[in-house]
Amino acid sequence: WSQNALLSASSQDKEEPATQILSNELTYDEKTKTSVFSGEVIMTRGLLKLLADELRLTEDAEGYQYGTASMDERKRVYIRQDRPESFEVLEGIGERAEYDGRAETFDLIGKARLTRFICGKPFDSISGERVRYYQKTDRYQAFSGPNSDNPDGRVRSIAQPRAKVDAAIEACRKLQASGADIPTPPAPKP
Amino acid sequence: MRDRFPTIASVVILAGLVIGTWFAAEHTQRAVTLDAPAKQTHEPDSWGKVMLMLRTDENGVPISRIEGDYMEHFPDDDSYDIRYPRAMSIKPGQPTLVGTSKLATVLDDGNRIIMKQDALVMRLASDTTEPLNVSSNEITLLINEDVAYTDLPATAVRNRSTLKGVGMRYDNKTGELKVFDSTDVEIAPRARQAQPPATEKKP
Repeated sequence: WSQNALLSASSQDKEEPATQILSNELTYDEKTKTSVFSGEVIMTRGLLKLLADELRLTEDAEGYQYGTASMDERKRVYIRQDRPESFEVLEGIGERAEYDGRAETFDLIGKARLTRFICGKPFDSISGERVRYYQKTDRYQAFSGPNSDNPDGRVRSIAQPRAKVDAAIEACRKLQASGADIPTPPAPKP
Repeated sequence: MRDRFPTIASVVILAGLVIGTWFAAEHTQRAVTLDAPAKQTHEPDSWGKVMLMLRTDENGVPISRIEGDYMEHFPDDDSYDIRYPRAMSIKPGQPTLVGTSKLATVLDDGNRIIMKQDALVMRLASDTTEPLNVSSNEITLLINEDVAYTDLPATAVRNRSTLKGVGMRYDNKTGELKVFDSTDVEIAPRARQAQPPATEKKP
């Protein structure tokens, strides 16, 4: 069974960004139109960043990309979405990640957790077996399952009160006005 | 003893002659410096302008074609240097590979073509594949294997993707491109279509 927890943030129609991928090695197969990036993979797409050990990218006839990111060692795939306009950073981890370029969604699969930071402090978090993030509309959704990050496979969602969020945003705005650096959570090394 | 004397004397004289001859030969050998064996230098024995070299397989079907503005042939390693070459791998059933550069060296009976200085290898489009360009300071074409590779920094452009890396190998038979180190891929955004993208229904 699956429990659906839908948390939403504001949504905008965004210009499609370019995608940059750094890695140690790459094998591209023309016949299957598949690229396999391996070794310290860093994928950047607009304000979204993904870190993994291997990324398998395919492309459909219309040019949409579909990716599967995985890790060799115990670490987890890491994605990060910066939203500077609201001083937010979304950080997600999971054993595997799947990216759908047409729907512009990212799925974190296997002990998945997504945390929203405001002004560098963790506020909301959602975890389960699978967490889906809609890049276009900034929504995220969690599904339960046996390989969930929580006991008994359920979805867990922590949402701070609106007032606390607004207060944190206001504090950040003052920091920005005073010219100080805006604190953000450090990204792990690839 | 008296009657043995002549025998002994002749043996001694003969031994002296042999030793003397050997000594003279040795001395002469050392005294006269022999000419070093003729070292083959890398110099052309033939050259030509506006050349075309066609190579065929065992059935006479052309598999590679090299044109150039100026060619020199070197007998010591049976190689050719060609200025402003246009090398083509035209194997039946495979997409055509075209290589250009400022200079090319053709070795191994035309199987290995080293394109040097602004080397560019283009895999022409076919009905199932887009064109692919690989550029580097030096690219080697292996005609029989239908492979192009370089160990130097290189850039490959295909459709909306630009791939940079150190060391690349493209296999025209399998259509596989490998980048060996420091891969940096930039995929430009898709051209926006006329109709608006599918939006997600709000609950």
